[in-house]
Amino acid sequence: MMAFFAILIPVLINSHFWQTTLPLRTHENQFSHGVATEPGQRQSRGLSVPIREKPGMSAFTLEDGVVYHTYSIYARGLDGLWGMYQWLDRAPLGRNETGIWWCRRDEYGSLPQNSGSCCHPA
Amino acid sequence: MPKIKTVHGIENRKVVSQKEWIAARKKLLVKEKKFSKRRDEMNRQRRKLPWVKIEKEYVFAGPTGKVALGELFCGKSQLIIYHFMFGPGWGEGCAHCSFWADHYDSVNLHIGARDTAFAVVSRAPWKEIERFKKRMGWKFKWVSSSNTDFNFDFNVSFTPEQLKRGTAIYNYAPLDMDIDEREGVSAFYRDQNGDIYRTYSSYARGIDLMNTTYNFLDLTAKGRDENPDHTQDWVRYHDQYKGAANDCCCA
Repeated sequence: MMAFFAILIPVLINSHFWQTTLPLRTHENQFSHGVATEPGQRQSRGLSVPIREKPGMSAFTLEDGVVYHTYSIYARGLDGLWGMYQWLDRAPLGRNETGIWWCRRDEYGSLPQNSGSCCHPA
Repeated sequence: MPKIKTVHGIENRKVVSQKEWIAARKKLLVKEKKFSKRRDEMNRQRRKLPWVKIEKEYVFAGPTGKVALGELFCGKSQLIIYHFMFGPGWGEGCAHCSFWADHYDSVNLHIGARDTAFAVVSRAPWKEIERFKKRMGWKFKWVSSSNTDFNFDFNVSFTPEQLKRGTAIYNYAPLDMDIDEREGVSAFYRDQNGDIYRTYSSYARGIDLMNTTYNFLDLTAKGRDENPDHTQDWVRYHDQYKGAANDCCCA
């Protein structure tokens, strides 16, 4: 879910009021808390490093020059926004998770991905 | 009281204090959590469906020539196929399937790491698919089933006889049918012997959750805000939207 927000946050901040009323700090390491203690090192979540950031999604509307906060959702409430899960839920084994399996997309290493892989070049 | 313009006309929304808003939001959160648990249970039941062994040898056409169904697994045990509405001679794929397909390359970034391959299948000849795929800039695997029974066997393409009768089986029931292609998603499992099983198929609104744009819109004050009689009359090919770009004010 943390990795997901590396993609989501640039979308959310695409508006001035985010920057004025709800300062959002998106420095690179915020997605690493609780996952890695050293560069390149990957550990299971929830160990020694305190988590100072958590994921969330908020919606706003702009009417007659006034910005209204209409909705916020956090934690598992974001589940439906991670498109890939909705597909995996249709596969026979489902999500089949025992912990954190996902990486930033450039960190999968030698795991073959679907795009342009084996039998069918992109 | 702010007024918002929706397809149903002008609607009012109550504006409250932060304290009142939190109270209302927490009340809805209870229902949202209940929905999540129900969905978990639905997913569990889906995984317990029996399977059907694929007895036919489906061979599709792609950029490297012939591609058997088993090859689409790319060595993985699971395969999900999107049945994309693109019939022979259409010239371009369905705009609504294209709306869904605009999300597929991002799905592909991670789903391969869950022992799952992803592919799109249409009945149009490969050359037509290739031209349209290039126009849309998509990278996902997409093959043609034009020389197979695949689309008919999965009830997403319909014969001239069915269209003449005006009815066909779609979404597991007879339905008035006046178009030769419909949309759907199917899942498959391939065991160590290479045997392939169909484990699941879903059609029509059953693919709703796989459209991430809708899942985002559902969280906004207006929601999808679609014409109830023509829900996707706003959808265009992504190269044909006018003035809808979201890059107005900042980087």
